[in-house]
Amino acid sequence: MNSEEIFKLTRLTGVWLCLIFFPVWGACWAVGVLIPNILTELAKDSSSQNILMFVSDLCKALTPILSVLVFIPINAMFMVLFERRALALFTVRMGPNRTGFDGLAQTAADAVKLLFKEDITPTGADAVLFTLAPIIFFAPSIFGALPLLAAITGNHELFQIVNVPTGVFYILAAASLPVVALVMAGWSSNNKYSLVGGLRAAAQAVSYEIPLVLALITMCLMAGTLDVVKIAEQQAGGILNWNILGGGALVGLDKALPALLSGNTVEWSATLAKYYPHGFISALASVVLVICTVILCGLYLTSACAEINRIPFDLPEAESELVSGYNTEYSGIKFAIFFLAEFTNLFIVSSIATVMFFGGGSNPVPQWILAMLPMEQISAMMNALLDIPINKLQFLDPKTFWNAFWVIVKVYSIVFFAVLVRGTLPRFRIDQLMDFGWKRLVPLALVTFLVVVFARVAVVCHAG
Amino acid sequence: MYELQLSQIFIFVLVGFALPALGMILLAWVLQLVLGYHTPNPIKNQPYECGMKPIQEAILQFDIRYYLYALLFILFDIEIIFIIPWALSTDRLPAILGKGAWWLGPAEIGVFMFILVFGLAYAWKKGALEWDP
Repeated sequence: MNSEEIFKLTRLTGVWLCLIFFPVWGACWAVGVLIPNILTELAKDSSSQNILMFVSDLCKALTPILSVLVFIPINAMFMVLFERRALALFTVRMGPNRTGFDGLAQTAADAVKLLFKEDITPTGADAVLFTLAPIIFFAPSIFGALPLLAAITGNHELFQIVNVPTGVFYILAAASLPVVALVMAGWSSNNKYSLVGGLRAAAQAVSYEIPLVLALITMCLMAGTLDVVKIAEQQAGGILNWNILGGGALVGLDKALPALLSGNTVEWSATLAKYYPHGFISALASVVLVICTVILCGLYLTSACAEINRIPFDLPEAESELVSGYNTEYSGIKFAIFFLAEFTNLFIVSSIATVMFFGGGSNPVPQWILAMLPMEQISAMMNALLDIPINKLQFLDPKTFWNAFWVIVKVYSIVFFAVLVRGTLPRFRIDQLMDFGWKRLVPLALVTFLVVVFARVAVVCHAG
Repeated sequence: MYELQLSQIFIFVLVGFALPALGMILLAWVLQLVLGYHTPNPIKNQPYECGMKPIQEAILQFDIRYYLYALLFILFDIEIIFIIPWALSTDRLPAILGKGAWWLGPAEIGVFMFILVFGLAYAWKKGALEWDP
């Protein structure tokens, strides 16, 4: 490994994360806090009070949408560049490193280039479907992301409007829409290779949706809710509470560990007995649950990879066999929209994994370790240092900031993992893909679901 | 309470779907119309396909190989819709029926899943899960 290249990749990531953070946060703050505050001040001594208050409320309601709209293009720009540079690192070559400062502006330049391209509709193409396909592909990535916003920001009051009680179900419904657009794009292009690509996309989507949904539903069964915010909140308090480690099966261990560390074995066994009332059976069931959730997480990541057509499941757009699959005939801004939506989908899939398996915005450090640190002094110091942004301008809400910070860290780690997989694995053949989906993943998902159901019977009793 | 939630969902689907997606794409479109050039000609407008001259129209009748897969998918998807309410309410069963009823929820889903797995095994045995039959 080339340490200089690793340093450059890290620097690029840092710079771009700042480029993402400040516009998105600033836009949310301006529309959600600053403008309503000014309007409220104005409304105090004004005859048109009702209108001003209405505009203020409207601004607050539009904040979630605005944050998504600002976030999606910048994030896609960053992720494309990150993927190219990381792939270059894995395959020991130079990535894009000319445009801007060390390649930082490469994707921005690409986007501008695509704007100046000619928009071609091939002869014989079904023009209406051809034009609609990118829109239908892109739209779900916007409205599918909305329930996740509440989980990412720790249910900040501005984002509570998008917190639906059936969040997971809603996200799944939105996530199954893009495949329609792929079939439309493939069919309407008047291109046999695109048609094959579109059909493959549909075949792949119907095969891999079942393990994906079953994995998520099993996690919902453990959490007892479909609300993404509640699922994220349940996992607060350190890595042992995360859903990937048994969905709460290790909570008792988390509670009992401090007693063991301080040498108090009596309290240790008392706490364990309280949380695992059936002794050996409870312990065994907890271990089984941990194994099951790790399998489910793997299942989810694998089938999500297939759902968003990433290598090794990128058969719909296999460059070497189908030229470029469903988007061969697209040029200019339509192609750009396809590209944008693909990377946004990768981000959404990773954030679902974060919320469902990796603890959402919660800190990975267990509570009892945090208790040893002088947390109060640290936060008081933060408050004093950042007095103006936190208290005067209400620009930084510490709770929301740390929630978003941990979500972003976890999401981009999963994205990095996806890039690593892309750099490692070759592409499946279509029959292998279907076999892998139906004969391996679906039975595995069904069996894991059943095992979880029965293992939970022994563990769930401690809930009361 | 319930009406409020429904209207919430409705509003944010409407606003979250129609307004931003269309607005953003329209903006990009207008930008391209202004910035890009447009000089179509018959050769340029030919489908690229694989770089060769296309032999025939590609909008044609085609063989859907995964017809059986799709049927199975619909079955499984509907089963999942049935599983969701069970998964959300099964923990409340002992509270309603008494502690002795702890086995009821798992037993229900056990029977349900047995039928499902049996169906999958049957389809597998019959060769519905073969891409090249």
